[in-house]
Amino acid sequence: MGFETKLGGFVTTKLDKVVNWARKNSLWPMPFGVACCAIEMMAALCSRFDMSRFGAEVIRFSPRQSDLLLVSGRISIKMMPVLTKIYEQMPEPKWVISMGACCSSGGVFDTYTLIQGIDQFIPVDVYIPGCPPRPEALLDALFFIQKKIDGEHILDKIHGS
Amino acid sequence: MLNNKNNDILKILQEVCGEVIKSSRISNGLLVVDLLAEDIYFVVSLIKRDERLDFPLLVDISGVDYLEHKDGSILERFGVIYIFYSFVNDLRIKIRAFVSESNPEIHSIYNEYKGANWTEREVYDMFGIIFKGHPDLKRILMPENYGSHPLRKEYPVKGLGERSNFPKYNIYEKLKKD
Amino acid sequence: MERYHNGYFFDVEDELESVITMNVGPSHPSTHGTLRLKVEVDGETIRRTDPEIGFLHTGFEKIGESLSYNQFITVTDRMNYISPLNNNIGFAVAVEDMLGIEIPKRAQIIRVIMAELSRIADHILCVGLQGMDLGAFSVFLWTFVEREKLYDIFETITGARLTTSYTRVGGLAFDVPSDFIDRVSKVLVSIEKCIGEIELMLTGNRIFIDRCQGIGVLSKEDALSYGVTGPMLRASGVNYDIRKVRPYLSYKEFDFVVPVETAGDGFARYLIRMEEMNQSVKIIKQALKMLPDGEINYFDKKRILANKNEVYSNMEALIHHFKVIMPGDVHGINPPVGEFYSSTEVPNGELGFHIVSDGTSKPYRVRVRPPSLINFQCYDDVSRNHLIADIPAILSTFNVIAGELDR
Repeated sequence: MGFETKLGGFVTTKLDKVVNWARKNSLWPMPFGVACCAIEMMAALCSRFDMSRFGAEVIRFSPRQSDLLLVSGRISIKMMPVLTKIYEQMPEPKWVISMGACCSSGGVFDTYTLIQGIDQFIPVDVYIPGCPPRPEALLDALFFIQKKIDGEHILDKIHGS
Repeated sequence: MLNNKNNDILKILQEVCGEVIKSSRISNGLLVVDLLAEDIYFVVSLIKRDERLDFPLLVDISGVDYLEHKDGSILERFGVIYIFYSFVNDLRIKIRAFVSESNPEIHSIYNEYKGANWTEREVYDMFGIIFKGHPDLKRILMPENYGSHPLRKEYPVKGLGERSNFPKYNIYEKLKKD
Repeated sequence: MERYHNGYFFDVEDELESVITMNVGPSHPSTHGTLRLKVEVDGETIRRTDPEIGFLHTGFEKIGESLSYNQFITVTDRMNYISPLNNNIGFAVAVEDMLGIEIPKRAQIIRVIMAELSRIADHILCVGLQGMDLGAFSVFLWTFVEREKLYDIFETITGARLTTSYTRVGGLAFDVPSDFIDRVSKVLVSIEKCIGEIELMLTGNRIFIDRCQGIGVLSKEDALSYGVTGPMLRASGVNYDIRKVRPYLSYKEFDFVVPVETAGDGFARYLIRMEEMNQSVKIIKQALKMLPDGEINYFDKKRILANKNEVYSNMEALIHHFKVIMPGDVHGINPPVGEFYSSTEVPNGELGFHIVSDGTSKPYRVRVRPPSLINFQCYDDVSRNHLIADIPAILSTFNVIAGELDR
């Protein structure tokens, strides 16, 4: 997929649409579940609130093979370098969902060891409020990401502009 | 009936240890024994090995910082609380060892009870009390290079800024280097 | 010493040269929470393990010093997030022991029912994860379906699926709805059916038995010396269950058996968890028959949180509400000065709370005795000389919940 860079910015919108359609309907999530929100994330992946109906079925716990990072749970200062490393190991294009109040903004716990919002250190696309959010809220966030991908230009995620 | 058994255990302890026990009382059915840090190993090995006492289960080890708590029975700033359980007598016993601030050291009871391994590491991590003779005394809950002991009373709940001390992931910087 | 390989003799100076350190990192596929194992392996055999924890440390004990007793109940939810009602009940029982009050019979029976339902939720998930780690993925999906049914009940009664915060000091937050007995009976029928299916699938399964029997053996002396409690201690032959040793709420009146095995391996722990679920169902059936009518909160209005409807309409209730909520020396629930320890039986073991109180509305120090941490200490001893493939098999029988481990 390198010829469109040689075209110098002139890219057909149809190509955009096809690529975005393919990307949004086959997101491969990387579940980074640490705490209570991880249980609701597991519930969203199981039979009752099935997330694989929307394409996000392939759960491989390897960052090199995924494109959606689902951070769920409170991130402490010991865990932050691990999260940054995993984020850096994911190849482009990648998106991040911050699930729950604790990783979006520190949540209930304003203490010496919790990061008050992971968006201080890694870029986040969608925030889900709740403590823990219902699995339907996670599915709603997946729709947001899909809508966001729809509006993307094909060159956006290549040079990280 | 619980009180009678508590009194029996207390009598045996007092006749063997004597002066080592600084004070004792029974609160809510639980026998509490206070002593200073240097005598802890003697008393703990006694309650493990003596057949009349026989406390084989180590329930918990924790620490308390008595800086702002004024009570008649408190002898030093830090207290290390040991709780044991005996199946034969169906009793719990609580031992409070007082550790001073100027010399925060106490002997580890790892040789008697292996369960002291991580619980003593946690007391060291949170309060800064050093356990002599512990096989591997290092921090357990906080990162290795953390500078303070969080559960001391002078440490604020929100911390001293360690939680915002991370590099921000900036993709432009990363690509410029390549 | 010499080693023979492919036709040549190699001189290997030190046998330890063949030991490499492997990292089972904090983010790993078996969903047991964020812990890190530094495993030293020689070929396929494990020589030593050094677990590293603390990746979820939140400082609950530090927050506990700046929250009042009723507010700390919301914090206990987040510790063992698989069975949060047990934690709520544990803390409420500890504070009521400290105050020396006894709550009405109806509240006790409701608490027993919720605790046992929560215990079933925890054990069924542990068994499901044990199956999933060994490859039996369908068992995991079945258990999640049952947990959804339990979540429906929790949501109807407490208002939340996971972070329930249902108990208050002196009783409960709200009363149960009128069709409570019917709902719970229906759920019990489907849970019994699911337990039967899991037994059919796993208990006689040749592969499961081969992978669990004789693996991760913990002897009786070691278990007592490490301070292990819960199903792991009972699998090693010691009959120690807080519900029988120091009965709290109204467990004295129920007729149930505490299962004990002597093998001490992974299969024995699995059998104990299955049997405990059956016993929990038995307790709930007895409790539903003896549920009396009456109050759900302690009678002394000056020490408990007032009913919200009355606060909005009644002046006296408003004054009581203010006196209990405001921080300070004279307000609050007026605990006595001193140190108190009391414990309850959660699915993982003995959850104890050591509360140091200085008479004000906030505790001076709350220490949580975490069963997962004290159980997890013996992992090194238990996994010596096993194969790498046994790492998830042993870890899943411990039922380590990272929230409780690190607090």
